[in-house]
Amino acid sequence: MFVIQPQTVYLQPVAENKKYVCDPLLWVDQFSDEFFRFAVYRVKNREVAEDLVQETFLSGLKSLNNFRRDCPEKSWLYNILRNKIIDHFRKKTNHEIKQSSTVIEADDDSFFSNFFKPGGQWNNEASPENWNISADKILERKEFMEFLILCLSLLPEMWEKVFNLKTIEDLPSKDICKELNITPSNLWTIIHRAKLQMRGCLEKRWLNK
Amino acid sequence: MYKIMLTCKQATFYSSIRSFKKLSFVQSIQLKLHLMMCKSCHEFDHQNKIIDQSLTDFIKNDHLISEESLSEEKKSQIESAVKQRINKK
Repeated sequence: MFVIQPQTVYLQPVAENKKYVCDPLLWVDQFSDEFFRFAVYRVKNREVAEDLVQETFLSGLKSLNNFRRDCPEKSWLYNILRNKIIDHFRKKTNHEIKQSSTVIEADDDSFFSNFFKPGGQWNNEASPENWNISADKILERKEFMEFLILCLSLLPEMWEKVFNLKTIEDLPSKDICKELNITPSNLWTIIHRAKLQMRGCLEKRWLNK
Repeated sequence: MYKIMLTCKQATFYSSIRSFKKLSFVQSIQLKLHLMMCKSCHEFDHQNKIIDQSLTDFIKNDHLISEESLSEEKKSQIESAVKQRINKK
């Protein structure tokens, strides 16, 4: 459905005895570290990432017969890797979806009471402080990114899935709902909660450390 | 009938989902109005943007800035898997 195919423009039969112009033997040296980093941040698991890199090269090799010269190896392999990662998320999602989707709304009231008074105004202790930083400058701060990643990892798994589908797959909201088997209002609530938590986490751990 | 003034809870809701969903005209006016008058929600909205931007940046660049690499062991394992596959052909 959302699978990116290697560009068909390049798919051509190879004459017999013709040597590859792409040299698969160089792939491991050239690309494996970069691909591994790309994968490991997404799947957050070294072993899974290693396997995905290996599968990528093997899948690439499999379809290499279809390539003639000038194949854009790297971006083409990246596409394969990206598909492998998406497949991985999808498998994981389908596997876990049934338990998690029913729990989303159950404890909304107690969740929001951590942040807001019954009338909808901020609780004094949860109300945002001034961070005194601009959006452009913050990106230069490696430290901020580290806390960002930490806070991201502390969010419930459902948010992680939404985040993956949104940022990595770049899916529109209605497809995210379809993938996760939730209603749009479920999705909005998940996002609202994630943002509140994320912001609070950053303020607590990064700003007031 | 709806109230034109949002509560902070509602305002943070609109601010949060804004990057996923286009707000209606009325909703965006309501949000703007609230942000003008509420310092806390104004901060929230600003920080929200920082978080969104950083997350996008993180996803786009993380593999370039990170220092992680494959173990040599795994590398040679992949290499021999590739060789094996080539020889099969």
